[in-house]
Amino acid sequence: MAGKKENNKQKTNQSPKKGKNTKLYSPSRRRVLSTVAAGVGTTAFAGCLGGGGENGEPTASSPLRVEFFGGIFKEILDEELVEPFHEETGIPIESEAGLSQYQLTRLNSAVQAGEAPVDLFVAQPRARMRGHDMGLWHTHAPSAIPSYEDVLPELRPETDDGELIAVGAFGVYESLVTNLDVIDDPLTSWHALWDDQHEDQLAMQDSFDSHLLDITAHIFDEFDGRETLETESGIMDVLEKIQEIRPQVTMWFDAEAEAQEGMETNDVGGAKFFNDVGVVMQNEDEDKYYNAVPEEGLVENHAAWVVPRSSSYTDAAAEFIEYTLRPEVQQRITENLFTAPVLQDGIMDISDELYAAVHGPGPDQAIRPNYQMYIDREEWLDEQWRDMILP
Amino acid sequence: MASDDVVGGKPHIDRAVNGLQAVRNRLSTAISVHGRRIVVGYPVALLVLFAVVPAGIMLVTSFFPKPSGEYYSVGFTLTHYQRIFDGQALGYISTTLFIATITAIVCLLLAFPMAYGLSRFHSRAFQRNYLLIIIATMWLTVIIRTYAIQILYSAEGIFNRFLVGVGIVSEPVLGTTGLFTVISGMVYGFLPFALLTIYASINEVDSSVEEASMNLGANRLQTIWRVIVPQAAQGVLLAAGLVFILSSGSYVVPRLLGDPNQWTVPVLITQQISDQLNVPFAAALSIVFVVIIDGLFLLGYWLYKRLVAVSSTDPDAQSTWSKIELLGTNLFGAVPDKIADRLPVVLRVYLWVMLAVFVLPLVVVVSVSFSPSSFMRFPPSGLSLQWYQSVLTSASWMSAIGNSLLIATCASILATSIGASLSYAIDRFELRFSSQLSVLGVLPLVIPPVIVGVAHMSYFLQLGIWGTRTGVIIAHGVVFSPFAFGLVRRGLLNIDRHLEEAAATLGATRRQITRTITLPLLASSLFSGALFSFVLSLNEYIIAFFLSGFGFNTVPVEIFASLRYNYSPDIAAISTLYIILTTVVVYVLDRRFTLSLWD
Repeated sequence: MAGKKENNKQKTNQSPKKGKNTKLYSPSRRRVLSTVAAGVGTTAFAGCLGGGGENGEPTASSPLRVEFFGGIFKEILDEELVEPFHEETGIPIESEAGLSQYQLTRLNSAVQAGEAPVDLFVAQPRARMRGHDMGLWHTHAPSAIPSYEDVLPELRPETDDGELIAVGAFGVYESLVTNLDVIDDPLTSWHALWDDQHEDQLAMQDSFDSHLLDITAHIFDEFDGRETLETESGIMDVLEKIQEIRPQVTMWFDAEAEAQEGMETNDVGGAKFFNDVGVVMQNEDEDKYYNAVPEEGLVENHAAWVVPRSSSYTDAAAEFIEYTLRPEVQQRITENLFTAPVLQDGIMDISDELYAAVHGPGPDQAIRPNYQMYIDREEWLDEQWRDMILP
Repeated sequence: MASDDVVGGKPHIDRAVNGLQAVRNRLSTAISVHGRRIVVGYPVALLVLFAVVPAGIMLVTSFFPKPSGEYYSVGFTLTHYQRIFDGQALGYISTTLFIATITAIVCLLLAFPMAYGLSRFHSRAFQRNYLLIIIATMWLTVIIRTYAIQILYSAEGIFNRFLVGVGIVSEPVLGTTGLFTVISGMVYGFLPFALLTIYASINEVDSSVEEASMNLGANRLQTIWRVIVPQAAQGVLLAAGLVFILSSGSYVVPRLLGDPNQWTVPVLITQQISDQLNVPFAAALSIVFVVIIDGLFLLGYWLYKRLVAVSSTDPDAQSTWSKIELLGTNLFGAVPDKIADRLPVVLRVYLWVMLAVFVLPLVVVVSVSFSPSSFMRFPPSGLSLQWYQSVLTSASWMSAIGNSLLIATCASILATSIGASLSYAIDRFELRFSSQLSVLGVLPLVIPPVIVGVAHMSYFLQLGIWGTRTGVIIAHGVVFSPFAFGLVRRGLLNIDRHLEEAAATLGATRRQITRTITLPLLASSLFSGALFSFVLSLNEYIIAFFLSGFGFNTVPVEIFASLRYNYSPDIAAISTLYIILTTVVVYVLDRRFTLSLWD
């Protein structure tokens, strides 16, 4: 579904090319103006020019560059993924912490310039879908990543031609973390966000795509989950419900580190975090932090490997992705990072305890965000969010 | 200009002035045609290429359509402008103006007594060391500066603990985000600019005039009001304008210290580009914002000129200004002499208090850098050098430091060369378009940095310098050139032209005059311009973020990115290294210029 949508959008992005090829036959004022505008248009960030990665071999001086989240994420993935991959395949590889998925405008400029800031990185659904709409990603022939069939279907979007746009890297559920120094009783239900006894105690993400819409539509009986979020009137009803959270919010944050810092200084009592972060926080200081799988389920989220089409090492990138799909590699990542594996049931042998830690009640019980809605209505939704939700 | 006042109908003076004028004319014509062209053409070309053209691209982009859920394409629509005037963008604009105005007022109220007290009641050595410490706070990268404020204002921070401890409040009142925190961050960041500007103005006021005023019966407050304020007014207004523009263009402070209702236009613009990928709307917003900010700036300047014109043409007229002046005189006259005479003591204490306020975040940052824990905590629980080791052995931090120093050095040289040559051309050549060139000289300053970053991104991509150090150097060099322009222009106006004319009369060539007279007299202005540009470039985040691409990072970009993952003390360690390094550089250079820097 996403692949088809992304494929349709890609066609609309071809127009700037025409602009660049416009020729001036007569210097009439109108034509000069239109050509200048077209030229500026091609200058100004259009996503379909140039690029086209050549397929070379990574070398020690020019290794395959892979990017993922920094901090503990990078430390563990370096140890459990990057180093073993290099040892086994001999392919020179280097990793870096980065935020390319949040910088699509800059990435678009880089791809236009024929540069690949990195050869592959993890992107969450909205960034992955938008990047595809902009024509930023290299698509893989299925034969380049034979194990893709083991991946959960929703984590391997394809083009109409059957090419792979992205392949799941890991699942990242969202859970509720309580700072026990501020709030005595752990938050164990999403309904706690509406509880006025937590006035000025909670931290919330400031962006409209923080999935509060999905949570609200899912947990209140008056809404029909994803279906309610299909219409503007449905979304407005949900937004009105979210307004009731505002008194409880003491901090609206952009990056999770801001909320974590607020918890460290006891300025924040609770927040929605990625489950893997919550598990680590709780493991590091059980007296202070409690990571709860809410009664109504975790919020399902995931990250997928994408390859900028300006990468010179698309084959090596595909080989790396193939490596990540090995059951033992998925197992190691799951055990150390507490993210959810992307392989279908029955392929991995995972203990019940670990399964509960990373999945909670399981994918069937999870709240599934309506990603396409966030893209289709982004401008309108952004305005409503600023008007109705943000202080 | 000065000669008109002197002539006054006296034939011998008239002849002498005419003679000097003739010498001056000969001096001007002696300048080779090519020399003039280069001096004029170099800054004009750079400013047009890297300030005007990107602004033009921005203007064109603002008319491109961008359907929801898609990327934008070439076309024409006024939708983005309609959206600005119909919707919530106006709220962001008024928030920005409110915060910038409050910041400018607070900075003036705090900086003026500081500058006066420093200038009048302390030795030159004390003045130099005091300003050096204030300058050191400017070396504190704005991101770490905001973090230091968050530590101090946190629920368990020293301010809240003090206020609760002494019983002034029952629970913490200061927050890590909010309007007060944003204003604090802005004032802390921009007060040094106001202080240095006002200090320079007050220093130029002849102190014997003050003595004369007091000998004639005015108390010290009345003297400040009637003697210092009018003479330093231009400097004070310049400081206000500078702080207003810097505040309105600030991104990091409102983003990190503000709640969403304190987010300013630069924050909205950045979010529109990064989150919404809505470049045309961001471009339209930029255009509207720049027009409003610059309109207000010009309005303020026009009002000032009008006030000055009225009071100078008819001192007895009951103009608004004269009414204000009279009100102030009466108000300060009502203050008993005993109290007014204690002003020096009060200002000395005040200076120490302000110094403590300025130094506190430095103390926080330096202390945290020695923390043994992996969180930035104040006070730290022990002593460790691990974060210095971490920074000094980290390839990415060392690379970022190298990039920042290289870019700041080159950008400051570029900014100074642009500003100096343009101001020299305006001052020394009789150009037909000198007023337009003056506008061109300050143009980069009145465009908020986020807009510069966005405007240059596509342009530099086309030029093949996007994602390169050269691109960031050019952008910083052009954007910060107005500081050098203003300072050198002021320096040139202060040079006694008779010295140059005398040298010309005695047969010195233009090159000799420039080398032996003009440049030495301009040295401190040039150095101040370079220093300002260097500091600003070193700490600049948003332009570097948009233009550095993915190939390299500067220190602010690296810090901002790392804050997404955690608040680690290595950020404090690198800030401390920054402070030490640059303070030593300023100190050494200051001794080289034998204290003239602060004039």
